[in-house]
Amino acid sequence: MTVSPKTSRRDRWADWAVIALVVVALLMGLWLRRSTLYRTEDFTWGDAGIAGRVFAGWVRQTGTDPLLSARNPLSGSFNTVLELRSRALAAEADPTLALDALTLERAATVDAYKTLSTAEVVVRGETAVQRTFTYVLVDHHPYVDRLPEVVRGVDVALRDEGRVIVVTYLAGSETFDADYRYFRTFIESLRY
Amino acid sequence: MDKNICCVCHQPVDADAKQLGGRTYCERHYAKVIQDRPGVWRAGLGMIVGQLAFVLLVEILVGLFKPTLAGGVLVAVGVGLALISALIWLAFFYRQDRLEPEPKGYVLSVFILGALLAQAVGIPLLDRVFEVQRWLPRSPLGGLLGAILVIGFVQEFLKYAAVRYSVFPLPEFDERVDGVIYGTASGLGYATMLNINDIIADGGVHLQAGVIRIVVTALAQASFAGLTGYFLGRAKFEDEPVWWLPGGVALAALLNGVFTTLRGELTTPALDLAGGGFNPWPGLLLATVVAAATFGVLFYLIRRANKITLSGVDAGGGVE
Repeated sequence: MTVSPKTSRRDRWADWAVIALVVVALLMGLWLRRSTLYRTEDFTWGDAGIAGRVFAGWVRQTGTDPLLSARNPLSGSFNTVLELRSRALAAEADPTLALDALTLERAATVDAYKTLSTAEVVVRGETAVQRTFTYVLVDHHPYVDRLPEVVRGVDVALRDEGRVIVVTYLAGSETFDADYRYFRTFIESLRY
Repeated sequence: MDKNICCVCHQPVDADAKQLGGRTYCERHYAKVIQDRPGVWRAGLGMIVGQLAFVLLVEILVGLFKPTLAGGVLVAVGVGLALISALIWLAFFYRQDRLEPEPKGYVLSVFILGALLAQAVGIPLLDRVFEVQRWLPRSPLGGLLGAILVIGFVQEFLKYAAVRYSVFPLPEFDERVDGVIYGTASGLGYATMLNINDIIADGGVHLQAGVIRIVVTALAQASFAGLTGYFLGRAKFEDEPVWWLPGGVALAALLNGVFTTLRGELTTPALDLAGGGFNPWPGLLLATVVAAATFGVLFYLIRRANKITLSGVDAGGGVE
C-alpha cells in the first residue's frame, strides 16, 4: 500500500482541520471587527430629555447647539460626524423649517453648499423629514497643505412636543455609504 | 492484498521496504526524505544577508545621487525594487541548489501562485471585506487579536494553500526540507504582490524608507511561510497527529499577527516635542531577527528529525 489507511484518513482529517480552524479564526475576526467598529455606549442628555447610544471610541463633544457632536477619528481624511440638535418649534409648524434654518447656517459657513433632496421618511414608525446635501470642505489655514474635500450629509428632523430634534450625518464622499450604518444605528437608538 | 508502492513515486517496492510514519518508500526516496540539503540553508542565510546588502546599496545610491523621481517612473522604480527583493532569494537558491536541483518551474510556479492568491484573495479580503485599516488601530489588545485572527490566518492560509494544493502531492515534493523551500517561495510571492500593491496605491515609494519596507515584508512573509512549509514537509513524510498541520498554520498566524503589531508599534514612535513620524529601521531589525531565528530553528529541527530517522535505521532497520 502507498499509505496506510489510518495515515491516509488522518491526512484527510488534517486537511479539513486546517480549513475549519481558518474558518473559526475568521468568524472570530468578524465578531471582533463588529464589536470594535459598532460597539456602542449609552448616552443621556438629561436637560433635553434625550437618550441614545453613541459609538465607543468616537470623540464626543457636548454643548447647547449641537447638543452632541460625535466624531469618528479613524474614518479617513474627513472624520465621519454625527450631530444631535434640539430646536423649539410650534406644534403646528412644519419641521422642514428647522432644516431650512440649518441650511442657511451651513451655507454661510462652508463652501459650495448645495441641497440635494428633501423627502419624508419613516423613523421607528414616525414620519420625519430628511434632507440630503453636499458641500466642499476647504481648509483656509495658510500653513496647512490639504486638498479640498467633498462632504455629503443628511439631516433628519424628528418632531417632538414643542420642538424638533435634528439628527445630522456628515461623511466624506468616499466613506459616506460605508459609514451610513452608523447613522441608522444612532438614529434608531434615540429615545425622547 | 494490496501491493506495496512508494508513497512518493508510486512505483512498486518490496514487502520489506522502508517505512516512515505509516508510509512506504522505495530506497531512493527514503534516502531523499532525510537529506539535509545544506544549500537550502545557505540560500536562506544568503537571502537575509542579501536583503540587508540590498537595503544598504539602495541607501548609499540614493544618498549619493539624490534622485528626484516622480509619477510613473517612481512607481516603476518601486516595483523594480520589490521584484529585486524577491529575486535575491531565488538567485541564492538556484545557485546553492545546483547539485540536487528542485524543479525550477515548480519553485517559480509556487512563487507566482502565492502572488496571485495575494492579489485575488488576500488583499481584497483584508482591505475590502474585513477593512482591517478601519478597526485594528482602535485598541492595542483588539489590534493584536485582529492581526492574529484576520491578517495572520488569511495570509498564512493562502501561503499554505499555494503549496498544499499545488506541489505538495507531486513526486517532486520528496524531502522534508521541500516544505521550507516551497513555503518560502510562496511567502516571497505573497510579499512581492503586497509590496507592489502598496507602491501602486501610494503612487510610488520614498526610496530610502520604501526599500526597507519592501525588505521587511519579504523577510517576514518568507519566514512565516517557511515555518508552515516545515509543518507541511513533516506532515507528508512522518506520522504526525491530526493537529499538526492546523498547529503549524496557527503558529505561523500567531507569529504573523504579533510581528504585524510589533512592527506597527516600533516604526511609529509616539509624538513628542521633537515630532513623531515614521522610522523604518526598527522594523528592519525586527524582521532580520525573526527571519534569522525562524530559519535557524527550522534548520535545527529538520537536521534533528533527519538524525533521529537515521539513528533508527542504524539501530533497527528504519521502520516507523
